[in-house]
Amino acid sequence: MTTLKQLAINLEKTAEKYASQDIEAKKLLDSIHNIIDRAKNGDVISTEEKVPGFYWFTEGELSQYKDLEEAYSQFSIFIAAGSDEGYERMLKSVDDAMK
Amino acid sequence: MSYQLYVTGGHGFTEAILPTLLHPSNAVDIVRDYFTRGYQGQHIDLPPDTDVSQASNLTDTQKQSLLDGLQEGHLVLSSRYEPGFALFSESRASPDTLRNDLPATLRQRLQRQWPGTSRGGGAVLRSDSLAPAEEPASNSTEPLAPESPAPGTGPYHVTLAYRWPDGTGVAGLPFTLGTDKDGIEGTLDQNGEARIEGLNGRFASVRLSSDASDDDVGHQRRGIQASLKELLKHEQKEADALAREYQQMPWHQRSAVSAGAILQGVADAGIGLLRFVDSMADLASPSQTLMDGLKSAWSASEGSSDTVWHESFQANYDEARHRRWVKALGFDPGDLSRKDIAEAYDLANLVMADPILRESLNDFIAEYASIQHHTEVSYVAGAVAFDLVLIALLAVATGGIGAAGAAGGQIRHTGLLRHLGKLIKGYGKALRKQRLRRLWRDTDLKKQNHLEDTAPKRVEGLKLKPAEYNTNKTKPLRDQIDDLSPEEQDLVRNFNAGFSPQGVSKEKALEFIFNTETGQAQLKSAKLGDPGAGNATILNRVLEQVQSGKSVPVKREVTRPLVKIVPESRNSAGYGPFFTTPEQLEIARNSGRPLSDAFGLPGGSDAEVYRVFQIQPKGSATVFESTIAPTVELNGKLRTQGGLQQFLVPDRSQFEDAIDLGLIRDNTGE
Repeated sequence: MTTLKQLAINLEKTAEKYASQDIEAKKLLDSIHNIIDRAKNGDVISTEEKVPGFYWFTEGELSQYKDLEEAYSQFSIFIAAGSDEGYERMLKSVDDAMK
Repeated sequence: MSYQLYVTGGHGFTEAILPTLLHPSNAVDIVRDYFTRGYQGQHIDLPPDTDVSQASNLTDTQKQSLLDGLQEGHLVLSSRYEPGFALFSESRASPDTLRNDLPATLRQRLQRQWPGTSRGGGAVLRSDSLAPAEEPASNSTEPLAPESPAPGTGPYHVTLAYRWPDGTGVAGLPFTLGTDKDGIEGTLDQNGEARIEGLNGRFASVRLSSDASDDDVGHQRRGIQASLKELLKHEQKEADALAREYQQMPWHQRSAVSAGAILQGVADAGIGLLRFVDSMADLASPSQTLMDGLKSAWSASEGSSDTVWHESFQANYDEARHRRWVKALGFDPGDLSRKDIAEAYDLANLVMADPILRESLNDFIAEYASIQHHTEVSYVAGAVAFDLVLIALLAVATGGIGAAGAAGGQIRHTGLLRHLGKLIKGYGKALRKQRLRRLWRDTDLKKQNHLEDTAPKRVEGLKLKPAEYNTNKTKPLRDQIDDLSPEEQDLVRNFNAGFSPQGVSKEKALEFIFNTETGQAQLKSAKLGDPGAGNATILNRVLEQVQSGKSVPVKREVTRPLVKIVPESRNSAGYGPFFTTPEQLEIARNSGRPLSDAFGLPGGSDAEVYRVFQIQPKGSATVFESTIAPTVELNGKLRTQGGLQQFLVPDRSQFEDAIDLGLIRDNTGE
């Protein structure tokens, strides 16, 4: 079972990996610091809340780090889904759409 | 159980109750039991046309009188909701199926006064008291000839009075009056009164404004809504034609022309229909004085008749003043009378007081502005209603085509406007009738023979203000950032400070993605564009794209190039999906708005000079179009309006590499 806390820790670790060598990754890490902490503490996060920093993936250079974008996206989608079941269902729906 | 007593053939004795009537022997037992033991879970209503009103207050004599009446058949008892057909030999209520063991009085009355038939229609021999009515000499069981009272010779009369809140009468209003024996139509006199004498029926229903019809109001309303849609369709058609003309020009020519002729042509075409609003914006004091005057004159007469309103308006606005004003609007005073203005204001008030039409009109304004790319102008709905009504009435009055003076050349869509004008007039007429409707139902004329009421006030008068312009003076984000604290500046420049499009909600976006064909196509396109990306990455990218629009995207196939702007300092188009068309970029440049405002960019991407990148499709490419949503940043301290069209490109592999078209300078917003 996937938890938001696991995904938060994964995103943080992945961002830290690139933060020392990429200024945008460093900015991303700083931007998401608050929401990551709340997720790690088990705080309730609204499904409508946006994870900061998406702009660096679309208009910046961060999409070159595929593992970072995937970690960021998993964390964002879990928040949107609101539960482990919803999260798994959404990811499966993406597979279904490709068939 | 619940029961109702009726005088046989009296008030309320209709065909519908026949199956529910109890046999007199059973009825007498029930009523006696009720009188002896009290309620015990039962309830009996007395006949409506008797002098006693509550069963609980009956004297012993009255109780006995009721029991005797039931026994003999002057009265009957109905068991509500129980069609037992107890008076009939079969489950069919008919004079031919009456049981043989019924009391003679009951049988005779039923046969003579069978409800709802030509045998008498329940119209004769009604008892007005608990005392038995005089019986005819004949005991024949054969139906008798009806005994119809002569019209106008009955014992009852009624007077009607209907007045405006200021006390003057609602003159000439049609009414109907009906009893079970009379049917009368008439109109109220000059004082809003009427007197009807010689009525044979004791219980009268009176309907004022009897020719009002809900269907008529609804029909006219739907007509107006359809007419507004039709106007938009024609506007769109004209705008598209002008846009096509523009698009057919070579790119370099378009740049040269865009500042002037063609787009101005679109703008002019747009202004034509709502010329009054724009004209009023230019005419500060005279028109505003008239507008304020309209409201004051209306307020002063809102408790009066429509005639008083017209008189009040005429008294306050002399012809010379009117002519000056109409001329200033660019119309020939001969085309637009003072009566037209008064009528237009009156009708506009009625239209705007109708929540359904008000919503339709607001939608019309939004759509109209969007077609004309007038997103910087926010029209005041009331003023637009007035303008539209006025111009539509003018189109009716002048026959639409060939209106004299300047107006003739300015009114476009004359046919549609004439149609709209007629519908609005029809709507006003139907609504006025509907608003004056009043009904008194089953009034006992023995107890009340004067019916009086006050008509509702006329609707609230609109405050008319000319169009409000945002005047394109939005400061560029970079200038707004300069006004922030150093910490805030750092947040905006380096961290996008909570930049968030205020577009489609996450829930709606997900619904679109998973439950619509377009959403699924966008998902597939994103996957095709980056086959190695994980499912979460693909879904999150599409989710963000959808949420950046005011509404969900529409799938498009494009063969022409798309463009995007980035701050001059960046020398790459990046891999992002956000593009637009060269035409949209030109519209943004010509709008005078800062480009970051028009395209909904974050503060960190705002620049004085932008680099334009272009991508060319390798043949035909699938993209997704939506209107750019407004954005907020730094807890709302920084905002953009968006509003231009964006073309989302989830799959960049359908395009050639981006090429640098050069630099453009941002608008200053001044």
